[in-house]
Amino acid sequence: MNAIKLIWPWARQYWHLAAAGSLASVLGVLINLAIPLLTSRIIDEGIATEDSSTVLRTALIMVGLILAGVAASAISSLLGVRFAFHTITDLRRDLYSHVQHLSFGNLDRLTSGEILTRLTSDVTKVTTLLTIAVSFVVQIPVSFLGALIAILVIDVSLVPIVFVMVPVIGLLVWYVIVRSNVLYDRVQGRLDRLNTVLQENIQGAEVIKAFVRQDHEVERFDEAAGDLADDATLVNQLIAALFPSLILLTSLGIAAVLWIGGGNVIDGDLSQGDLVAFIQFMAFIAMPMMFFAFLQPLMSAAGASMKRIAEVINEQADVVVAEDGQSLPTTSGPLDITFDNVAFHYRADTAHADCVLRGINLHIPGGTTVAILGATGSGKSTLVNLIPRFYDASHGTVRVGGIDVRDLNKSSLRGNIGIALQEPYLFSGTVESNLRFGRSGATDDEIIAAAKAAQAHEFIVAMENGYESIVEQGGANLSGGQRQRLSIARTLVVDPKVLIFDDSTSAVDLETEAKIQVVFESLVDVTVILVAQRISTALGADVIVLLEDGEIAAQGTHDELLLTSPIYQEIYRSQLGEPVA
Amino acid sequence: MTSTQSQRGSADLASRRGPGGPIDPTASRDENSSRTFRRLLEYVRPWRFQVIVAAVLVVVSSISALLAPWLQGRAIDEFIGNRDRGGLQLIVLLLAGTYLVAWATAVVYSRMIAQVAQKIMLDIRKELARKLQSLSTRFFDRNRTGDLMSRVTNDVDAVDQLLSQNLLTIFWAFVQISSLLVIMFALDWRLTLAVMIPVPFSMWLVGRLGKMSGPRFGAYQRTIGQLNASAEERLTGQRAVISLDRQEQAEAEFAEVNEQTRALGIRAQSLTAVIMPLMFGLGNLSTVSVVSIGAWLAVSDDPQGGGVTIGLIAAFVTYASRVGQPLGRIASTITSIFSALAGGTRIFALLDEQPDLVNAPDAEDLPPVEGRVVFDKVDFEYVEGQPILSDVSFVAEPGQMIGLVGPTGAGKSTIINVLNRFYDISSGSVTVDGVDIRDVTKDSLRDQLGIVLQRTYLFTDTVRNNIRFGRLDATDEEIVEAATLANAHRFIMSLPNGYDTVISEGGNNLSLGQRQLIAIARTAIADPKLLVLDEATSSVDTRTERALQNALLKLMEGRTSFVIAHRLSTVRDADMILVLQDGEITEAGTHDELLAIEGFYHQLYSAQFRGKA
Repeated sequence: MNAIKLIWPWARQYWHLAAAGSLASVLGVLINLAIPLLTSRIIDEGIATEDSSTVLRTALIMVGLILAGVAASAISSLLGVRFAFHTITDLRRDLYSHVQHLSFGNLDRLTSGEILTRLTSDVTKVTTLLTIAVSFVVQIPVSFLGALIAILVIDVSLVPIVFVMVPVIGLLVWYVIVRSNVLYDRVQGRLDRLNTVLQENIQGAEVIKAFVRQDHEVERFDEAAGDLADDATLVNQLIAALFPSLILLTSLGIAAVLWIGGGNVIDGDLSQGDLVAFIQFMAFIAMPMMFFAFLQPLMSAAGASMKRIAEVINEQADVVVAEDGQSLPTTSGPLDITFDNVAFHYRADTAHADCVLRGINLHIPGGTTVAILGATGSGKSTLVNLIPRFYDASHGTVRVGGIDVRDLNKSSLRGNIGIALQEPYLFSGTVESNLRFGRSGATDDEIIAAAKAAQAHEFIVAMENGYESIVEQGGANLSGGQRQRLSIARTLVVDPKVLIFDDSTSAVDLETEAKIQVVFESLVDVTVILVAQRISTALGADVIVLLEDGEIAAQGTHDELLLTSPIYQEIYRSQLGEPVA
Repeated sequence: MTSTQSQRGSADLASRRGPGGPIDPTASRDENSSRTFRRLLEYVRPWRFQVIVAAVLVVVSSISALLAPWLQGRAIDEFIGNRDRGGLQLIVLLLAGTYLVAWATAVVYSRMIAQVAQKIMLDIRKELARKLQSLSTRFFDRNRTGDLMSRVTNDVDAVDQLLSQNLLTIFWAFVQISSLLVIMFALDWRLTLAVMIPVPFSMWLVGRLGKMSGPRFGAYQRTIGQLNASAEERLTGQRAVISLDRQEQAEAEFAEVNEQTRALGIRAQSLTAVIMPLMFGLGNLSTVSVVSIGAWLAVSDDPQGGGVTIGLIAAFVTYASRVGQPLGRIASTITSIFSALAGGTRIFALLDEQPDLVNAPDAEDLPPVEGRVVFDKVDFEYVEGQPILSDVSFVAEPGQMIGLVGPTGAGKSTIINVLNRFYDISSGSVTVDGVDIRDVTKDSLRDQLGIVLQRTYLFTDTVRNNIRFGRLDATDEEIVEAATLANAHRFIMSLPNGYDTVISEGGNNLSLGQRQLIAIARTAIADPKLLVLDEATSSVDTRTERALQNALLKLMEGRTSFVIAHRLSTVRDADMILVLQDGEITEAGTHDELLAIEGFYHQLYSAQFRGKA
């Protein structure tokens, strides 16, 4: 029921499909209920009175009713399928769109695997439920009540049998449901564990081999798979025993009907035909409960899935970039960037002293090149991620072109700021499709120019099919340096006014890096920010900002820093490996 | 790393089918199906006793379940009809007895099969896990994680459905139908025919729908596959999508395949949706034909001549409702049989994958070494005519530090991958303490060789357990010691739970550099004789690197070390620096010697300090 409540916002739109389908299914049930009554009529009136015309007439009516029943049930199922697929298509669309509006902070918490599971297997479970729900939800009570009423009408003295049988079956079904829910939860946990181990076995293959830990991993896997098998056996055995037991209880009910009803026939209180019909109705009473037992695991699975989907959909984006905020003037020159007393922390409960960034005051004049140097974990990436609002500053203000980034609209903000991330991600496709990813309207000449600037053109044309060469998912068939250069080129194609390179040349050899630096320096009217580990990356910048432990330790030109900053001197020395002259 | 990656890429484009390439079953489908099926049956063999017992119980259960309606009919005709109350009660008790037998046997065989199913599944999974561990790293480069995982989880599930459920269902259905036919014919052949009238029609219908559903489900599964693949890729690269402001495009792409999935899903599922009502309707038609034909016979037969009676009709009404069941179950089994066979083919494709590096048949364990490594005229190529290493010769004496420098793609990482036998060389020899590494087991070689890779992989586990991965019996004190050596102790202590902090997949709690430090600690605790640092410090900033350098120097003491680095500062203290260009050693010597000859090393050195006044 929980599942139905959660899915309703998407299902509501298609309620007419569900309603029509349920109506058709009720019609089908009522027709089916008429069959035993007609059977009884053939036996009692046809055979007893030896009237073949009654037999023939009743049989024809039954055939007609059966055909109508098939049609009604089929229509109900077809409508159920349509209802389910329309609903879940909308659900999946909204889920995916929602994820598109989440920011980096959300993505830190939700892994791509989690989101994917919700989009695929969780949605599938909801689909399975919805597809049959339309036929069954109404059918179960109607068929149960209908058979009950028919029995009451035929012979009241047999009703106590039903009143004993129904609660016993009910108790059994209830017990199995409660117990299996507990077990299913455990199985799900075991399955997650198996998946994690398996994923690590595959992704960590290189490390596992290097440390000769294959046996250790196989043991871990065996344990996880064994635990899963144990719990799955328990739950499957429980379910396996349920159906024979339900049949047994129904059959014992039928035996009781024969015992008592047979006596009634002997006493002349009941006709033989009615006794036969009664036996059939017993099945009508038991069947809905069996269906319910069968439907219940689907419902709880779909309920759990829907809850997981809802978690993602209810996840509030940490940063919402408005479509209708202020615009940056399109004609103006280069954009300057200002950090005004900025602090940042990832978790809200962080004490100020533990913030990733603290008291950042920085002005980057338009058109200049600034390098940000600093130790691992000093906050370099975080600092630049605040500019395109991948994260929002916790305190203070970041301004681009004099306007608070939080007031800028999406196209102004993201359209004017290009960033090549620390860990570049390439999509499967061709080299060209990857380069064009940021701006689909780019011309071939622009693509080639950007590739040349990123020193990627040479290796691209050396590949078998040049710009048409296949790039595998994540750029797996390219080296780290090649991936970085394609990522730089992809950002250059966008042609933004602010370019940020987050340690984008760490895997590129020094000669090539030097050539890329020259290109950066030659860009006119573009503000360039370089995040760097290597001092060689920073040397050509107009200003070097030295970040230490979340604070700006020093800033100035290379020559100034060499004179004034002991930290900078130390870095420089360690790079050169000799004392400063 | 960078070098091998690029060459791995281009090499494998040319030799996609070679060992380590993507799994790609090529045999024709029909031939595959029957072979797959026979191979799958092999997994049942260890459990044949349970399966045979279950099969016998299925027969007993079916027959007792089918005797019940006949007893019901006798109750109505002989005892109710003849007003024999005592006889009625006796036969009802007999009836209850057959119900109990049917129930007990059904419960026992279903539970047995449920257990065997899980055992078989576990057997297959264990075999797959061992196979995965035996395959080379090249294999993992070429195959998607998600695809491999789904073979071990989803495909095994599908196969298990076949082995445990579907085969039993088909067997049950045949037992059910044949015993039904025997009982019904024994009772009355005319009513039997009456029951069977709609059967040919329903078989034809099931066949028809089955034929239609194959392609429709195929098309649906394919779009689902497309939807998964495209969503997976975009979501993995979601940060790139955001940073390039392409969310709308991603939404539009997804919407397209999503809508397609809806259309094809409705087309496919609609077929399944009508099968059930149709089968149910056909069952009802059987009932009608039995009742009406039975009534007509009862009216026309001589009542004295043992003809059709009401009890008999009642029994046949029940039998009629049971004819549809096995047919319907077979119909619903067909699609899952096909998906099981497809799953089986995918499982076997993985199991048949040949490890491209195997130990020599007479390989022995490498005894504890001093660490003298000799490369003698080593050539290596992935593809004929495309050498990656040619004529590489050098000697590393025990305890020496060897620096490897050269441009991207020169073969630096390949030398390392050859040394630890991630790849085998094409000609020449590599010896450790005079023993050719191809003559010893891979594991004993790697046991004595520690590697810190450029791309670190840490497990979703605590920091402590990640470090302990290097040596499983390490004590907590030793772990702290190793972390301290790797300069990781300080930041580990600042983590929320110190050494017990769990490292998560997408966790922002650790930077690349910090992950690298943990990986270094992991190698330090393994205490190997040979040490490889493959760009180990590239993600660490220069200041941290400098501090780390001291730690690494300590670590390298008494071990033969190979250090690959872009930054020349990293290798300037090496006993020997090998300069690699296009797979050949072009210069070799100490830092000062190499500067003196003013060759390529000198050029690299100068480029590093471009901009120096």
